[in-house]
Amino acid sequence: MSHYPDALARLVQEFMRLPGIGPKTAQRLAFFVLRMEERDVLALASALADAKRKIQRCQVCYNLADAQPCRICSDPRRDSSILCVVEEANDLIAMEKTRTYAGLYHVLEGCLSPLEGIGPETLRLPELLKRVKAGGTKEVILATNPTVEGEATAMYVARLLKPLGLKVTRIARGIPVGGDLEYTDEATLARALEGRRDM
Amino acid sequence: MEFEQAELRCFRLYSRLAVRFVPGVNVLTGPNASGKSTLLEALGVLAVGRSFRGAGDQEMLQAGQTAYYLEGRFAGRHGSHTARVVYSQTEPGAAERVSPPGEEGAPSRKAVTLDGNPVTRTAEMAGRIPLLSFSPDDLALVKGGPVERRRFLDALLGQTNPAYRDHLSRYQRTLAQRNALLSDMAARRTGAESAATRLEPWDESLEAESAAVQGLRKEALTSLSPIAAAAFVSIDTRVLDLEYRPDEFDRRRRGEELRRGLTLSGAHRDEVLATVDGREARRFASQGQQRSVVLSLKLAALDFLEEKAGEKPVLLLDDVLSELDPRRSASLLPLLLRGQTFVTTTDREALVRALVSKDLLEAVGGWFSVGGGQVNLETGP
Ligand SMILES: Nc1ncnc2c1ncn2[C@@H]1O[C@H](COP(=O)(O)OP(=O)(O)O)[C@@H](O)[C@H]1O
Ligand SMILES: [Mg+2]
Ligand SMILES: [Zn+2]
Repeated sequence: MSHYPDALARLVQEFMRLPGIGPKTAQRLAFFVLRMEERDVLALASALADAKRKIQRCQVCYNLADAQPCRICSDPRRDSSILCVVEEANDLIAMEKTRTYAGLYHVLEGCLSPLEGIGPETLRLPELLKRVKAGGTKEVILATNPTVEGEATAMYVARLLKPLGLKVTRIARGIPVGGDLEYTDEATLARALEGRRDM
Repeated sequence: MEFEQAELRCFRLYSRLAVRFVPGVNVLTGPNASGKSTLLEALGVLAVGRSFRGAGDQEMLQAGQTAYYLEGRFAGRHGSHTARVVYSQTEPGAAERVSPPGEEGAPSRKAVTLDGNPVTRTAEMAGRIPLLSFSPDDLALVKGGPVERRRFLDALLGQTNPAYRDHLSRYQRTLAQRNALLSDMAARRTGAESAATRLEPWDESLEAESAAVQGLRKEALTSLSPIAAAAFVSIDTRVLDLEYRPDEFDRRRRGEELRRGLTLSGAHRDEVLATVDGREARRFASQGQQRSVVLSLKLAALDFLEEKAGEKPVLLLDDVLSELDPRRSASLLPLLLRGQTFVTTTDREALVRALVSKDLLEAVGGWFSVGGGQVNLETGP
């Protein structure tokens, strides 16, 4: 890095913090930034800072949001008797793209993975229980990924909710095994949603 | 299935090699360390995605280089195909960072394509080109522990059944997660009730995947056993029996598992017991008999692959042909040399004698000499 002027070295270093970006890519991006128009660079910088400052977790569903509660939670047209449980906010977006689902969500912020030290206490499970116990929920759809970890998480949540006596369903497999919800095409997701089953 | 040609770049000792093969038997002769096994290894990587010597990509990469490239053209039932495998070292420092597979900008380490279409998981490559390897190290199949025999079954089933690959990888992933959970709970001395709640979701899928894997292993063994036994009796006039002993996942062992922090039952503990005249081959058979057991298993595997793929597999015989006891096992040579076969040897004369004794010299379509990082076709033995 010592061959670079300080400000450039810093930029390269910052790019390298991003996932999947090594020194070569970081250097390419940094040089690209130097060739950009100044106003575009400023727009990028303020977009980064703005996103970080303004986007927070919705305190109801834990979706990423710029309002409290988020736009989905506060939309009166949505069916508040159905909750769809997903692992992450990007899974929620994938689900929204199907335009098949009109209920509310609950984002767990992850899935069970003892290998990474992630147990039930790390996920938004107490919050889910509290929401459901508050009443008004008739059905919970478990839409975690069809990975080994996603299945185990669905199973865990199903057992957790069973005593409450409401309907708990799991989206059908239709999704390529081992695949991620985020990378699944919309038609497949829509079909999977229709074929959900009791757990 | 037949390899028509192969190209290797920066693959072990080969800086740059292009070679055309023939349909029948291809004999590769050369002194020790001349690159015979390496060429077979490259064909294996192209067909099933991994080294039959168990080597990793980094090991196969030529010393001092940053990328290797393999290309193979092969002809089969469905016409001609081209497989490519490109492995490149990650940018230094980038490996430690999280990079979800398929994410844009993620450093690509290995790119496998078939007719130009990317093959996302290396495992998917397996099965497109049926291939079986046989080398002296395979003696471990009989001499080694249960893991060697499970690996043999896994490779065979993995090549022929995509559902098996899926069940096995889900099983292994679940097992790793469950073991991590057990060892964590063992360390914390988690109470039985809380442990049960945490374990149950993993138990469900471990049980299901274990049963699926075992069902397919059992089926495979049911078709392998009689063929292996028939081969063995013609070499050794004794009775070879292969008995599959699945270790069914048993939830009742949870108490002990919590003390030891480990999963104690399931498909990862399966055994295939080979007996000769009722005595365990691993402990009681002679060296010669053990070799015959391996040869019998390989012949059975060849049949199995051929039946599942609907075409003759490519066979790699690394240093085994001249080692076969000519008096006994050479009678099986015609069974072995049925499709395209690659045979390596340091001693061409001994190989020619073995082939002549079985009227098989005609089966050899190409005599190659290996050395100096090159492979040359010769006019005859
Ligand atoms: N990664 C590598 N880079 C360069 N040379 C290698 C590499 N791995 C192995 N070799 C060389 O390849 C040779 C062994 O080739 P091999 O195919 O096993 O020979 P053979 O089967 O003819 O006895 C040895 O000389 C070894 O040093
Ligand atoms: Mg060798
Ligand atoms: Zn919300």
